[in-house]
Order: sequence, then structure tokens, then C-alpha cells
Amino acid sequence: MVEMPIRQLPDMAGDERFGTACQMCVVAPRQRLVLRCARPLARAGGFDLGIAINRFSRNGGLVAARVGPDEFWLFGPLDAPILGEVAAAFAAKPHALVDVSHAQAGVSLGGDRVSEVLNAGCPLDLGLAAFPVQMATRTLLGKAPVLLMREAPEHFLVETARSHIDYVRQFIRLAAREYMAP
Amino acid sequence: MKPTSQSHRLDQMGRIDRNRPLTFTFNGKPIQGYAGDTVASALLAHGIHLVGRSFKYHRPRGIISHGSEEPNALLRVDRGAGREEPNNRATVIEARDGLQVFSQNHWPSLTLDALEINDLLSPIFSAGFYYKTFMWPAKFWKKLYEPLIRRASGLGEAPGTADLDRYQHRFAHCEVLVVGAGPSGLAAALAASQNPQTRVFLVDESTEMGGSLLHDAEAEIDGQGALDWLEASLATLASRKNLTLLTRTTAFGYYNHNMIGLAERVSDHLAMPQHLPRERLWQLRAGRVILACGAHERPLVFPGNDRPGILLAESIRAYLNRYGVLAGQRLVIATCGGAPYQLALEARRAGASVTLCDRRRPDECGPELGLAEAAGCEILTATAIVGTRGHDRVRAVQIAPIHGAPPSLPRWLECDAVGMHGGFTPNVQLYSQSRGKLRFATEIDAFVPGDAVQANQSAGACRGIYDLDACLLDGWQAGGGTHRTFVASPRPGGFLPGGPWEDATGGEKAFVDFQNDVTSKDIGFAVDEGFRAIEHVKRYTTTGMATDQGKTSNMNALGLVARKLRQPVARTGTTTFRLPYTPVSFGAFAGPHHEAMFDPVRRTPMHGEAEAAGAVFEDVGTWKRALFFRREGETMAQAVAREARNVRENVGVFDASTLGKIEINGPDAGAFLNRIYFNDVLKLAVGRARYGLMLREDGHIFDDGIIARLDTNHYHITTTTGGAGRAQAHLENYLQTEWPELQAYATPVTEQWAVISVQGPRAREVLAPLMTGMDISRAAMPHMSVRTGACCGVPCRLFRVSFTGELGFEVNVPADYGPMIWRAILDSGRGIAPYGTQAMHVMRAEKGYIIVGQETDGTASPADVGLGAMTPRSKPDYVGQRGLLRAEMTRPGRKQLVGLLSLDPAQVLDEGAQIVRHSRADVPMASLGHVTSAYASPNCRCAIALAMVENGAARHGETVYVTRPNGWSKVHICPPVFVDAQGSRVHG
Repeated sequence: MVEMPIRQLPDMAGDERFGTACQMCVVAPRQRLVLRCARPLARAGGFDLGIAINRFSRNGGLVAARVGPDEFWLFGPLDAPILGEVAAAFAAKPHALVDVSHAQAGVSLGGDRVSEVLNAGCPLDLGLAAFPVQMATRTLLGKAPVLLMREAPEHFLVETARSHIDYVRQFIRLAAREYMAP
Repeated sequence: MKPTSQSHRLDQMGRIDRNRPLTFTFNGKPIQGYAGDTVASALLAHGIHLVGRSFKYHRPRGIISHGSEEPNALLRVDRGAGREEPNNRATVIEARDGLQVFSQNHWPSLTLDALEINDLLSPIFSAGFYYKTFMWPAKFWKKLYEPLIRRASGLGEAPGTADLDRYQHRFAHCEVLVVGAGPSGLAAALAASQNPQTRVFLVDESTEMGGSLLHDAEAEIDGQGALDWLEASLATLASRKNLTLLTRTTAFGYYNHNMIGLAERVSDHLAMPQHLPRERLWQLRAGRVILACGAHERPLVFPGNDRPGILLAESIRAYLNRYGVLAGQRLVIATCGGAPYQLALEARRAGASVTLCDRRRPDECGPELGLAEAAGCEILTATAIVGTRGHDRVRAVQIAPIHGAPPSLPRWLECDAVGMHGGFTPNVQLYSQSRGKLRFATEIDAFVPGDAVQANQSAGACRGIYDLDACLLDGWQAGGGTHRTFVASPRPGGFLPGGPWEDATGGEKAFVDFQNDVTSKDIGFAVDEGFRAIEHVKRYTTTGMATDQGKTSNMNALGLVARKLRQPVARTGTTTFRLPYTPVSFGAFAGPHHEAMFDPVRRTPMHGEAEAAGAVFEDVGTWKRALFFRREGETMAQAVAREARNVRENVGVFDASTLGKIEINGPDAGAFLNRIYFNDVLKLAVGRARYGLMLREDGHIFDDGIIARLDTNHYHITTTTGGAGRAQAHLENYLQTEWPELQAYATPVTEQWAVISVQGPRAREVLAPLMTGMDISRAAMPHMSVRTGACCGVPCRLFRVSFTGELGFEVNVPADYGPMIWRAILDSGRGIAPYGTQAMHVMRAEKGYIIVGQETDGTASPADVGLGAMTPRSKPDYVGQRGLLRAEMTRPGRKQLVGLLSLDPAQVLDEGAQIVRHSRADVPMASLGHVTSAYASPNCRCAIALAMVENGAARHGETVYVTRPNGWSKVHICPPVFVDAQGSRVHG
């Protein structure tokens, strides 16, 4: 009766290119945890949490984004034992650690016009001075709430609710279309 | 068809590209031009001045300007089906191959328009005519007067087909925005962009940057020709990476906090737009804004000043120098200042005969007089135009001496074009939009910007500085530049303030507002009839209203009102300017947010499974939910009845994934929920669940759902589908602002879990084989409990809850596994069928379960909907407690939830219908309440309804009447439970 569990990912579209202006790639399934704690540790489960609000840190495949005074988003590979390790590290502290791996989907965007493409729907200043590399924040893309992270000057990661990923991808397609070669 | 010749095109001059000829059509006739032409310049090159009919009097009208202030030459542009647009200004439409433009507001043709009769009837069409005439009888207004008036007046017609073009939005930020790329704007941008860290935007509405320099061909700047200086400056600007240059881009709106709306016309001028959008709407946040918007030339107000062929003097210069078009061979220039003497010289050199009618006496004029005379111009000082002749085009002007000139009879001067100059009006629209207050400058007879209210600064002509060197310096300094001066050729100056003048009484109409057909007489009438405030005169006469916003008319209207009231213009004041500065297409505002992209369309993990099973979807908020599952040959009613019966008799499967879900963690999680919910939460044991109501502070129902306790400090709560976002915000709000001392965290997990509700007497039998790590037997897992384990090997939170009144479970699995589990459950026995939201609604109504937002409307208390028994007995405080103590909340006669049964069992009531005591009572009748839910119940085999009725709980058994579109339904009031009143089935 019991078969091997089958995961059906929300985003079935593949990678897309819009010239050198913008490339949109699907983020592979990964673990996503929301950590809430008023007085967080500086390190837990391999994550570097000693970071400023609206910044993220990277330690190998582990990424921690601090999106509020007491809120971190933790990303890690599917097989990493991060849920247990972070929970153990915070055992003595009042906290919340919630698995939201399936709640979100993401695309990674690169290209020499990627800021303009995002600014078609993101109202933030994406200049490097205002939105430097390693910045992470909640914002909007069109009408979809997203988590926006800048990994390099011309490389962003966009995370959104799984039910918003189709909209987000289509929004980016429409914005990037004008940069395609005729 | 043989193209008409470009009879007015000069062999030399202009910035058009004569190697790139093009052809477009005007009212179907081919018009030739060159790359760089506007539709207006190409028409003028053919000697075509008549391009439209006026708004009210249907007078023949021509092109009067060369820019976006054009009030007359409004054309319909047709770029194919779905790409038609009325009311485009001929002066800004770029000519290109294949373009089709048409004149508007005439029948049967442009040259012969039946409604020209309005012009003769004009004595009755004075200001306020409509207000006074079509008042009686009142019912004629909607059916007769308004449609007639709307057909006769107005300009272009709205297109009837959907817009096929694409539009984009763009957000941007900069340290300095420069609006206008004339001499001041260019100098400002050159200065501001010197620092590579300063992001500068320079935007201009024209096709190329340069502003007045583009037609000031003979001017010199710093020893260079103005055009050479322009080219060098643009090259410098283009080389700076911190600078964004946008042509064809109108700064149309100045919003709060230096947010500027820009409309960029990206591809209309291209024959092959490729992947480009048609337009782009920018929302630009600027640290500082430099307004270098220039000035508009002011027309003169004289009888017949609206004939085709009468243009603004500076515009004739622009057509000559920028497009190589000489508007007329016999040119009359009427002026009250020195500026158009430059035109006189240039037109002479281009071969025209020129007569200057200058209001000023010789002693009021400067050296320009002698220069023009030497160039062969006829100069008539202390002279004004008092009349004109010509239908399709001006043929003659009547001139008369004024103030102190030697008396002589008025005489007629033959001509084929007239340039008029009544001074300049600084373009203060954006400054005014920024909430700045204007100041009147008597010496230039114009309003100029006062103090800045937002971080902006005006430079150059838009603040009344007209000399070229001064404009350049003003811009440079506004851009933060220092240590520099500019040397530029002087411009002929001198100006006689005090206009507009009315030199002729009686005779033809003298127009003030060309677009709205307002004459000097109309303004006079308005004042005579008691309108004193300029805002009132504006609305009564319509001067300065609508898309034009008084660009050419405003100062003349103010001058007339002031003179009539015998008060200075400064005291008369000015109207405020509205955005947009020029019309912006609806498409630009909509951007990508239309059709499928209007809102995100959210689909559940099992959407594909439902689709394959024949689901018909409904929109619930932005979610798509399966309304019912259609089988071949079924109507919706049949499908819903089948689904609902199957649940009561067998087992049904329902996608409940859209329900909001929030995890509450922390040592104070229970205490927090106990304050948030109306009912008691503290006593909830681990592994148990409870129905919960959230109230607002005022005691009214806010949301409802299930509270399940997974562990000591760990709860999983659900909310309504539509309430998920606001419930999360509600919790965060209390945690962050009211009870920061509580150690509790609320994490939204709505989309983490796919929720498959399995309902019906066989639910346990279906699920048991799939579950591991959980005992779901009746004894081990009672109604309202929660267990964690695995379903088909997938981590699972299993709730035993019911919204149908049957034995039921909700299977929560991580979303990616939803489709697989959905299939596994449907495949695990015979007769298992999915059901949709309609069957769910029917079944919950059969049980009298409320839906927040359907039975409640923001004014219902728990007691009103029959949930008073949940009132906690020993809770110190909770959200809504104080609100419930208000007298209003316990007042007798509040509406309460009841059931309704129609006497005719087939008669499904209308949701929202009103309920009254007697159908024959006098109108207006007092309403007892309204129907909130109504369905055909397959399980009761009759129509059922829920309703909120005054004193409803005490009315069970009464007969009342419910409105229908054509009469009444007679109904019995009953308790709001139609199936299994004892509630034993959920415990099955």
C-alpha cells in the first residue's frame, strides 16, 4: 500500500534567458526554516546568526537571512540535519522554529539588467549603495510579497509563497521581454 | 493617389532627416514628411492648417503651437485594431510610415461641419447655458438632454476595442531629477552629474533634448553655435554613467515625498516595436527635483483669434528652424513685447513678407525695432488686431491704432499666417502640484514659484528668467554648480504687461481657452453673474479645465477677471493645477496589472488533480477553489446534490488547503491565544482541538477556525481562507504593540500544508490503512482532536474535525506531497468522491455552521449567531471583552441567527433578500432582517436558508415574508439546524 513519497514541486517551468539582461533559474528544493527568537544566539546548527537586520550570511550551503529584529529565515540542503541542530541549540531559549520548506518557492535571477527587471515591480531602491550585496528584505514584486536577497551585484534570489510563484515568474517574463534580441 | 506637395517646406533648415522620407495619412490622404517631423510639422509643410473642430461651437481650428500645450489640434491616431487613441496632439505625434491620423468632432466632414450652426447660435450658448437651460423637466435630463449634449460636444470618441499594447512600470530612485532639457535643465544636469556618486535623471517630453535651443539656431553660447553647444553638452551627459537621459518622457505628476510620475512613450514612434512595451510609467523617488520646465507663450485675445493659420509666434519659429517649414508667405506678427522680432528676422531671411503689429509705442520698444526695419519688415507700433477673416485658413487681419497713436481708420491686411505673442507664462504646473504657493511677478505679468514646499527648486524660464545666459547660469547653480559663468547671445526683450486687452467691442468671439471654447465674453458674463473667486469662474466657464489645465489660457483668463473686478491679478489669485500635466494613457497606469496578471492567481497543490476530475473553479479571494466536480451530463445543481449526499451517506474528499494556518510557539503561546480568542483556550489539552472565535476590540466577530494543541507550548490554529492575512497581522499587532512581554511567536504556515478533508460515515475506514504512527480509532481519537504521524509515509498532522456535521478528518501533509496523498485517498476504496465548495456550503448550512463574512457582517456578536454559550466564565481579559459590555451588544431586538424554510420547498431564497412581517404592509416596510445563506438541500429535500432576524431566537415558528424580484416568498422561521439536530453524527 505505502509507496515512495512523490514530491510534486509547485514550479514546473524551467530556466529562461532574456539575452544578457536577465536569466531566471528555478531554485532546487531545499529546507526552509523560520526561526523566531528575541535574543538569538550568534551561531546555531552551522548558521551564522550574528548579522544585522536585513542582511544574510552564508556558510557553505547554509544561508541565514535576518528579516526582522527577532526573525531569521534559514535555508539549507534537503539532507542537512539543520532542524534538529538549531532546535537543540535554542532549546534553552524561548523561540519558534517552524519548517516552511514546502510553503515557498524561489527563482534566482542574474543578468546585466536584473535590477531594472526587478524594479518593474519592486518599489525599493536597488542601487548598490541602498541595497548592497548580502542584503535581504521582504518587499513586493508587483502584487506578490517576496523575500529579496542580493547575492552579487547582478544576482538576486527571489523567494515567494508557492501559490505566488507562477505570478512572480510571469511578472519577470513580462518585464524582461523587452531585453530579448529582436 | 498623388501626394500633395510640401509647398511650405524650405530646401534648407531644420533638424529633419531629408534622406529618410516617410508617408502617413491624414483623413485618408497621404501626407509626406521626413524622419524628425511631427504630424503637425508635416501638415504645415503641406499648407494644411485646418485640422479639427472646436469643442462647443465647432469652429474650424488649426495648429497653434509646437508642443504639448497644443489646445486645438487633437487627432485620433489609428495604429490598427486595438491600437486606436483619440485626442492626440498633432504637435507631439511623431510622423512615421504607415501612421493613420484623423480629425475629430465634425460631421459630415472636416471642411463642412453641420454643427458649425452652433457658432451662429452662440449667443444662447454662453457660460452656464447648460445649467440654466436644461433644468426642466428633471426627468428629461438623463434620457434626452444629456445624451444629446454629449453627442454634440466633446472631442474624440473612446475606442471600442480592448487595448492590445503592452505597458510596463518601473520604480527608480535618484539623488537629482531634472525636469526639462532646455538650456536651464541641461546646465543643471551638467552640474549635478559632475559627482559620479550622484544619480541624476534628466527627462524631457520632446523627441530630443535641447528645448528652445532646438529652434534658436542663430544663438551662441560661450562662443559656440547653440546647436554645437547642445551637441557637446549631450555628449558629455551621455558619457556619465550616473546619468539617465529620458526623452519622450513627461513628468506628469508631482506627488508627496518627491515621488514623480513619468510617462515614457517607448515605442509609438517605431514602425517595428519588437519586444518593447508601448509606454512605461515610472515612479521615480528623487532626493531633489530641479524644475526646468520652461515657459509657454501666451496668445493674444482678439476677435477671431482662433482661425487656422494663427499660431503662437515662437511656434512659427520652431516650425521654421526645427522642421524647415515656413507657416506662411505673408506673415503678420501681433505682439506686446520684443521676443517675436527674432521670428520677424528669420522669416524675412526665409523669404516671407512680414508685418509687425506691436502694441507698444516706439518709445517703449528697444533696438529690435531698427533691426527689423532694416531687414525689410513693415512695423506698425501702437497697433492691434481687432478682427480676422478666413474659413479654413486666415486670409486677412483687421488692424487698428490704439492708445495715443495717430487716428486712422481700421484697415485690413491680407496675410496667410499670423504669429501672436502676449508674453510668456512660466510653466509652474509641477511646482503647483508639489503644493507650492505661487507669487505674482508684476513686471512679467505672471505667477512664479514661491517657496518650495518639497525638496525642489525651479530654474530658468519656469521661474520667469528668460535671457539665455541667465537661464544657463540659473540651471547650473540649481544643479549645484559653482565657479562658472555663461556668455550667450542676448534675446530681444521688452514686454508690455497688463494684458489681455479688449480693443474691439462686439464683433467676433475672442477666445481665451481654445480647448474648452471659452471666450472673453464668457469670462465677463461669469463675473457679471456674481462669480468672484477664480476657482468659481473656472468651473462656471470651464476655462482652464480638463486635459489642457490652462496652459495657454490661464493668465489671460485671470487678467480678464482681474480687470473686470478692478483688482490686481495678484489679489485675484490663480487656480491650482491638477495632475496629470498632459494626458496619460490608461494603459500606462494599468501597466502589467491586467487580465491574467491583474492579481496573482493562487492555486492549491491539488489544483491539477481537481482539474483532471472535472472541477469547475470559483474565485475565493485570489485563490482558485473547486466549486464542484462535474460529471458528464450533470448540471451544477445535480453535481452539488450528488456530492453532498455522498458525504452524508458515504465519504467525500475536499481540498481545504486555502484555509489560513498559523503556528503559535513559545512558553506563553497558550496565554497569548487565551487573550486573542473569545473562548477559553487554557483548558485545551495537548492532542485536543476546539472551535475558536476571534473578536475585534468592539466585540464583533473577526474570524473563526480551529485551535489545536500539538504540544505544551505549540499550537496550530486555522483561520478562514480570506482572513488568513489579516488574522496573522492581528496576532503580530497584539504581540508587538500590546503584549510585548508575552513570549510567543506566530508563524504563518498556510502554504506549508496541503489539507485534504475526508468527511462522511466511512471516513475512518478510508483513512485508517493509510496512517502510520497514529491510532485513529473512535476510542483513541475522539471528535476535536489532533495527532501527528505519517500518511503513506509522509509526515502528517491529522485533525479530527468536521464542517459538514459528519465524522471527519483533515489530513495535513507538506504541500509538495498533496497530490500524491489526494490520489492515494481517492484510490483507497469505492464510492469516494471529491466535493467542492458549493457542497461544503450546503452541508455546513444544513448544520447551521456560520461562515464569517456571510452570516456575520462586522456587526454580529457571538450571541447573535448562537454562540453565546462559548462566553468564558473566568477569563480576566480577552480581545473584545470590553466591547461586549457595551449596552448596544446586549440590547433586546438585535438580529439573531435563525433558519428559514420556504412554504414552497423548491423555492430557494435569494441571499441578501429582506425579511418583513407582512407582505401587504404599507411601504416603506420595516425590515426584520435579511437572508444570509440559501441553498437547495439534497439531504433535507427542500430549500433551506439561514438569516439574521431581529429577535430571531424568540421567533421560531413565526411566518414571515421574504422579498423576491417579482413578489414574496412566505417562510417559516425555525432553529438554524436542519440535519442531525442532536449532533451525534460527528462522533461516529
